[in-house]
Amino acid sequence: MNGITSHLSRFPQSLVVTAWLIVLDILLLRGQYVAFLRPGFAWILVLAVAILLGFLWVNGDKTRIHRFNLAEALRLVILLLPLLYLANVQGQSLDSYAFANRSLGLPSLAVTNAPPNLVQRNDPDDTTLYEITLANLYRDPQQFTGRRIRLTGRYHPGGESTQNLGPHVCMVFRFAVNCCAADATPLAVLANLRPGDVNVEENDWVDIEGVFRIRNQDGRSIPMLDHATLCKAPEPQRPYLF
Amino acid sequence: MKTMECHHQTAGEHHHASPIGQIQTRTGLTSRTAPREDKGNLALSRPVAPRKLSWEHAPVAIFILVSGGILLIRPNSVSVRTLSLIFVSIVLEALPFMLLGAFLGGLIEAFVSRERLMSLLPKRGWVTVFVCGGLGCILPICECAVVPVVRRLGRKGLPPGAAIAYLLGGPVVNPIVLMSTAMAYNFDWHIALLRCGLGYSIAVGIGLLISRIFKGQSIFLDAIHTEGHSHSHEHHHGSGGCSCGHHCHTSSPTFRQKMSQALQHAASDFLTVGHYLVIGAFVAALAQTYIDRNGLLSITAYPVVPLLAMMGLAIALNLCSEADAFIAASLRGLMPLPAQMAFMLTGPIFDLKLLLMYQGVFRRRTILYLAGLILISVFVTTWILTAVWRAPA
Repeated sequence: MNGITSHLSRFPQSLVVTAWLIVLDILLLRGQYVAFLRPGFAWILVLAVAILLGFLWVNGDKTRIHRFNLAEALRLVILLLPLLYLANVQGQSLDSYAFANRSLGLPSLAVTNAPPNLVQRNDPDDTTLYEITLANLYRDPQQFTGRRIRLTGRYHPGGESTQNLGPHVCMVFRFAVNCCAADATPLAVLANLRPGDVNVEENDWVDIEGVFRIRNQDGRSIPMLDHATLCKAPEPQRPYLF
Repeated sequence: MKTMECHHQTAGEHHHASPIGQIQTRTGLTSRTAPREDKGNLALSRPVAPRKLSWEHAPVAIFILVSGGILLIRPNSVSVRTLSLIFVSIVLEALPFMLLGAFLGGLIEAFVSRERLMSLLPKRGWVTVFVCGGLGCILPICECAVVPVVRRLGRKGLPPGAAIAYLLGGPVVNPIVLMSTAMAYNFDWHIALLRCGLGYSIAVGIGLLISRIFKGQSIFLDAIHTEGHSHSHEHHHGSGGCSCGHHCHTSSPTFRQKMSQALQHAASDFLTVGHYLVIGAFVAALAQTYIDRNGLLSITAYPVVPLLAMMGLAIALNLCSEADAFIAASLRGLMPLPAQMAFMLTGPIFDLKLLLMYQGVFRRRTILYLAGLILISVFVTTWILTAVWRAPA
């Protein structure tokens, strides 16, 4: 009888560990963890799975005496909480709400790799289209000045921060993640759109194309696309840049 | 075949609260007299009734109601979606490291005896503090993993000052953090080395202070010396590792048995402290979602306020020590370097998540001292840095 009681008392622990094991396995096998972590961090989830399997193994020890109590029940419920929140954000990623919260206005979107004496290339004969990411642009802005580029990001109408820059100026943004979405840094490019209808809504994924230049704004180098056109695009497999 | 004779108690034995005597050894290590051997098993053998509902459960219950309520009431609102993404991200990133830390702690518990640990440490207490401050160089783990490891080391008898030095130094003074900081700052090694150097100084400084303040006293919760003995492992004197106070006896255990012990200790640690990580991550996600960073950073014109603002930001954001440098670096031009350094020095050793996790390891008095000393030392260090930084200009 004691054996059965002991088994039952360990059941909630096993249940929580099993729930986490299943969720981590699903995230790993479907690659869905990239909505939260950088792709290279699959190994830390594998590590967690291995250790949790070990926990499950020792929890099955029949000779182990355990008594389940209220404090433990509350602790286990808390450990399940992230799984409920995870279920709430399946297939989603950080959007313009987080962008507005984290971008800290135009100055924070400046590229820091642009030299102060940057010479802006202007070669009208160069019609090559460079398909790049916002991360490429931030890493080496000098390489792309004066060139026609295309990149993918989420549309943001700009609001207060761009209203002084012209009637057709908007922003296209994306987040760069170092470890997890909690440290996501917004990267964005201002876009001076050609006049015409813009059939996209805030947060839509778009492909934007235009001529890149660095705009000097209060002594800061803000990336900008001139003569830009944009169109809706499917959501990329990896919503963040790494 | 090894024989194992294990005298289990009836139930709930990890709740016993028998006092554990402490003796100061020549090396300054705090060693505990094991109640199982010299005090008989009277205290251990007394069955303890399961705890009933009490007021101490109220904060945890309220947390469950609030966090569950937010999800139930407004699951599709933009802010709750962002909150969910950040909360899950923090947990998914930190949980594996916490599990790793718990497992490392379990391995230490099962494979390294107290005597062995003592023999590895320098004889002089203050030298131990200096050594432990830099232990992250050979055991590079982040702040989530270091907490359970320190929990086990404390249980093994590591002196308070040395334990604190490792707790605070480990997440900053390690090669991974050095490399990530250098990368974030375009391989400006001066900043990376400055961060490690200042982090080490703060860790050792606070470690030495804690040694003095808590001389002859334990900084750890009584529970960490007494809990987690509800497993069927074997106790072995001298040659073995487990010093958990369990009253089982066996001849030398096999590797498999020791691994089982290690996992049982790790599971016990994880299930005892893990919920603090979740609560901390949730509070951090709330802060990241609802605190306006523009407001926090709009005070750079004042000489000292940016330091305080960045320390506050580090406490609120709860970033991993291996990632925070990228956030600090993204604030270049908005914040002076000393303020960025205040962010990078505070985050790995003191944030909302850690504050809660410390409650599973340290006494409340220890946490109060620790919080005060960390905040003061980071502020003073970066304030001096501000003066030095301005001097050449």
